[in-house]
Amino acid sequence: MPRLRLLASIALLVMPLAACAPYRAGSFQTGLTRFPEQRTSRGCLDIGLAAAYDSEAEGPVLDVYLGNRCDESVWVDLSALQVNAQLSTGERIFVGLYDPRAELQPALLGGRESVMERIELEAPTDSVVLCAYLDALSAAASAGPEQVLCAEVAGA
Amino acid sequence: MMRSLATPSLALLLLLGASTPVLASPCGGGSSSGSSGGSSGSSSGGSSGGSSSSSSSGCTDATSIIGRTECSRFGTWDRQLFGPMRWSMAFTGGTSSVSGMHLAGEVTHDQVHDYHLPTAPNVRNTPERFGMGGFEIEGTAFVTDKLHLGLHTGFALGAGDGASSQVGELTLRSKSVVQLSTAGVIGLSIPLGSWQVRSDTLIGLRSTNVSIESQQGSCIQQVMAWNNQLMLEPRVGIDKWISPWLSAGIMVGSDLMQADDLTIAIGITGHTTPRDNAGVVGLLR
Repeated sequence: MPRLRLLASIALLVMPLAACAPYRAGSFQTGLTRFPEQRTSRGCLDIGLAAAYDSEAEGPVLDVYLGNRCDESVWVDLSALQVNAQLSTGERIFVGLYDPRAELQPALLGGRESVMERIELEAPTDSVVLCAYLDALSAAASAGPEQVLCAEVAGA
Repeated sequence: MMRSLATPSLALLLLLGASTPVLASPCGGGSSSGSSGGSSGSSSGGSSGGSSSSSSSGCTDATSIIGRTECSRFGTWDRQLFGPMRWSMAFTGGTSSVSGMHLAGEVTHDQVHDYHLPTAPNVRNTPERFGMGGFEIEGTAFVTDKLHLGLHTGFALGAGDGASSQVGELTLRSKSVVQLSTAGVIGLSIPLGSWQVRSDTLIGLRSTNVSIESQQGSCIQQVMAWNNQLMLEPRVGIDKWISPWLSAGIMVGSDLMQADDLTIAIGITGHTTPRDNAGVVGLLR
């Protein structure tokens, strides 16, 4: 029991420190949080994507994980994200981002920092797959051929 | 550091020097909304559905979905309350002097004598200068891209034969000094590639403890005297980045309120953001 207590104390001390660690390029993990399996790297950005239905939202939501691989800050424009939804019928449509207060603006992601944002989509509730076109996300991520990341909608 | 939308906990923010820590994670972020479960494979992130985020005002959001939060807004990770911070420690060397300092006290030989320095004229038998060595630490935060503010504290010891003064029948000679300094720092940092030019001005208080040898005939006594005086020390120096998080450098300065003062500080600095986020890539605006 004393040993368990000691281990628990060490874990309590170390876990917050691990969470405070700067983002490590290519790790797709920050602190104790792992990026979803749908992930890719573009320029300075490591990007992860997950999709789900959320009881607080009318449409499906997209979780966008971003990790800055570089020492320098990176402009990220989530408002420019283009998302394509595949419906249960097989039809594919481009959908808008739910942003009634026009909050989504270009923002600086600091060097070696990471962030996760949950964005609701103005998409039908029978969406089964969401695909995000990553080129518009950041000029720092636009090198190379156009890249698309798709995630099945959990709970669809 | 993972960040998200929720407003920071103040204590955590002060502790980390980070801009916007969030409720769900000690360093601001973690999964403030949890991850959503499966993607085309399966997400490793946890449960579906948003968790809450809250602000220090006590406002709590039931979700972290952009547009549906009441307490927080998107992009707080971009609006840093504090800029990059850095912590420095350095070994110092240099010279100092007690000439001009007002030192007063009593010394007992066959009887109690009052002394007051400096006397006029001083009788000098050796150059009035101490070799100094010490240690200092400094914490600063950037308030603009190049301007930083902070706090500095230092400790230094000096030894040597100081000036002699004749006070009545007594011959007083300062033998060693101990200096403690506490100051505010204001300065500029200018990045030059992997180098950084710095200029700091330290404004504060310096306390000096002087060990004085008092001689009357063949009787020699040691007494201690304290002097407190304002400190105004401009410094210039240069830092070299040795990793994205560490720089090493040298600074040279002189306390304008103290005669014959020169300090050379060689130290290492830790930075809370790599290279102080001096660069930006992917310009959109």
